[in-house]
Amino acid sequence: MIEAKNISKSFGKKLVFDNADISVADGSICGLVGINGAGKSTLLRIIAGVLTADGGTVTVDGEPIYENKRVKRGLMFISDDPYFDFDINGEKLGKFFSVMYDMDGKVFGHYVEKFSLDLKKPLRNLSKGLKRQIFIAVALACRPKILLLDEAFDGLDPLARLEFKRGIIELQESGSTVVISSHSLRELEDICDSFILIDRNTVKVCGKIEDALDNIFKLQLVFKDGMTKDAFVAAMTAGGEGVPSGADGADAVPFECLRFDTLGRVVTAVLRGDKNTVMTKIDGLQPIVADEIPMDFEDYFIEEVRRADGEGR
Amino acid sequence: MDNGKRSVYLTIVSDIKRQVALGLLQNGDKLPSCRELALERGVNPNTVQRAYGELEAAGVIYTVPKKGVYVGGGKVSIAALARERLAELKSGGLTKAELSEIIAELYGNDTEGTI
Amino acid sequence: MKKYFLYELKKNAFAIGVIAFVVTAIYMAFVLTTFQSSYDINANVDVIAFIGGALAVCIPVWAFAYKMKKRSVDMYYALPLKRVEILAVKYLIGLLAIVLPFTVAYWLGALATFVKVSEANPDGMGAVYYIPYYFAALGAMLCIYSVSAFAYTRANRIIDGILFIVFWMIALALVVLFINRIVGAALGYDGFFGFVYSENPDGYYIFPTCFSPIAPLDYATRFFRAQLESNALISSDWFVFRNQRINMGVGFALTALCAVGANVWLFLGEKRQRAENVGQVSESAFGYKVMIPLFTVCLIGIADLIPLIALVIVGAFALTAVYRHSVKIGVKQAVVYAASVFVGITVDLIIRSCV
Repeated sequence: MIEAKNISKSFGKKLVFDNADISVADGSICGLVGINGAGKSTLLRIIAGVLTADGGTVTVDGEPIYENKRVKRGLMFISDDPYFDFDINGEKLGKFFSVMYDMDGKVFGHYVEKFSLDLKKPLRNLSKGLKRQIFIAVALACRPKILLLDEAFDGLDPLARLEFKRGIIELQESGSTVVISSHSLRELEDICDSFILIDRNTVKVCGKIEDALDNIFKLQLVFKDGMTKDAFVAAMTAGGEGVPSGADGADAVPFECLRFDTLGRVVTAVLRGDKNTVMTKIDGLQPIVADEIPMDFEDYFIEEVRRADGEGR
Repeated sequence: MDNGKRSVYLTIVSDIKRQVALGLLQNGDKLPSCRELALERGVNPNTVQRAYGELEAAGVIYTVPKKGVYVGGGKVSIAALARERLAELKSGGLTKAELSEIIAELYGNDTEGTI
Repeated sequence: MKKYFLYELKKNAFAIGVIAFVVTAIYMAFVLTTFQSSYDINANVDVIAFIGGALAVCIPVWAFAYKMKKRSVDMYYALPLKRVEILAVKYLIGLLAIVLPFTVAYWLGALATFVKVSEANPDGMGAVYYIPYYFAALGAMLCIYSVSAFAYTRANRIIDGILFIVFWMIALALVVLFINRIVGAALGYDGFFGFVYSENPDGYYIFPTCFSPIAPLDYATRFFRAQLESNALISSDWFVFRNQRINMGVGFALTALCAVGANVWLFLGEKRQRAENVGQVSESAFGYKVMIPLFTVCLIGIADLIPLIALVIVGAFALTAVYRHSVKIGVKQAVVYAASVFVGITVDLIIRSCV
């Protein structure tokens, strides 16, 4: 398990994290998301033992990572623009990492074939995507217990992406934990079971993707006499904190209205809470139309970050 | 496939439901294991597990321990599928008149006919 | 770590071989084209000394380049190695890249010299002195390498590192020169090195050149060249004066101390080096922070000629701009710059008023 407790990090005067907590379970594939400059790379570099947090602890199975050979032997980090020496080609890169990690040559060969890689060509002459493929082949062949990938899908063609995702799944099956940062949320949704959302200098959400998606939903509503946000929330929660679920209104179910946009009489609302309870309650308000619009991880991300925007101002 | 605006597991659920409804998958057919399907599509095995769980709860498939996952029950009918899709389209703004037109176009004047 | 060392060794074997080849070719070209007399031919030890010194100064730039780029630091520091282990391996590889090429060139050159000289002048050469000179030169080169490696790794960028090496090769000698000028002025001399020296060969004058890390190599070469040429242990004219010997003793001891300190600090301080700083402004006290004001004051103090002083003032600003990565050097640096120029000029004016 990768755990970070209460970490903070600044570069000079620029604050990156404050009070950030994460926990990634063993055998999980975890997506690391956040807008540009949110600190995804910084977090990965801290977990990789390249940087130290100014405060707080970062551990793998309870052991600190920084300068810890034992932990790092099972930990591999592929940065967004991985370094290689001038004269290095795929073959030499494989050799280098086989010195550092317990690399399986067969697996390496397998991916070299899958990606049809030319191991003799110097890396500096390869396109970004091909370079990445070589590093991916190396990383998957090293079978690290923890694999950290920055901007994992950058520059990969669709076929390579699929192959890469398959590789990650196979790696996970052997018990490894994978943390991937990316802006292709579609890919992350495919492959990840959990995620970390970084926003406003902290880890905003760290949990399972399905939980996040199950409890948030977007509705298109039309009410006969129109509706304002305040009136809607008041009606839903009956003035309390959540939506009353029981007949007596005793057990309030957590409820949050993340967005309430009106265009004429049509309301687009993004709500968080137990779907059944909330829908039952909405039916009680007798809308003319109440349709659910499906949401994927990307929509979820936009809603979360947008909401913070609203709060910020 | 779907329009991409669905969670991965719902996509798998609806894909299999459709295949069963259309008869591409028949009762007793073996489905790929969670792992196989996950690797084929490049999605997390837990997600497939969840989709299978939902399908099993809906009676579309059943699991024989240690043997695999099979199609069974066949509770998905084409009509149910059509209803589901039409409901979606309706919420997307498809009017009854438009739908009638499409039906007329697809089925011709033949009231009982097939394509 | 052993595995990693062997890997690096294998990986760099070719590069070291190329360096050895080039260095040997250069040295041999000098040896083989020199006129065949024992006197001329041993002048070539100057060449091998220069080559050895150049290797000791330049190799750290290559050996420790991994610390200077964010990308490479991301890679190296994520590896299952302690940072000090990576440093040790790179240090050893750098050392080998100096010692091996030097050794090959040195002995091939010595052999060729010996053959050539014994043809022309069978007993005109103290060939045996090639042996002690080899070790003396290696030791002196090790000192240069240690100081260079230390100075270079204080920087966060390659360009800063190269400048830090230059600073460290000159700094102590410069300070001594500056003191000379002040002392000279205080005693009423127009403080120029040669002048004071020739007036008072056995007097207060301190040889600045003894205080550079390059000095031991320089002096060893002069000394052994004299031995090689005359085939008998003699003192060259550099060793005539008593206080020169004291100067040398103090200067060399200081260099040795610097070298030991540099190595100790390099390895013990590795823990405190931060990957965060890579590519940022180099704020080390062993670098610009102290060196720019020091060089500004000392150089203005010894420049004497107005155009040279102007050049120093401009140069100091240029260095500050390199230090800050921008010509907008900021208020703090502007104050430091103005203060050092002011101090330098004040000292210069005082000196002028004295002589």
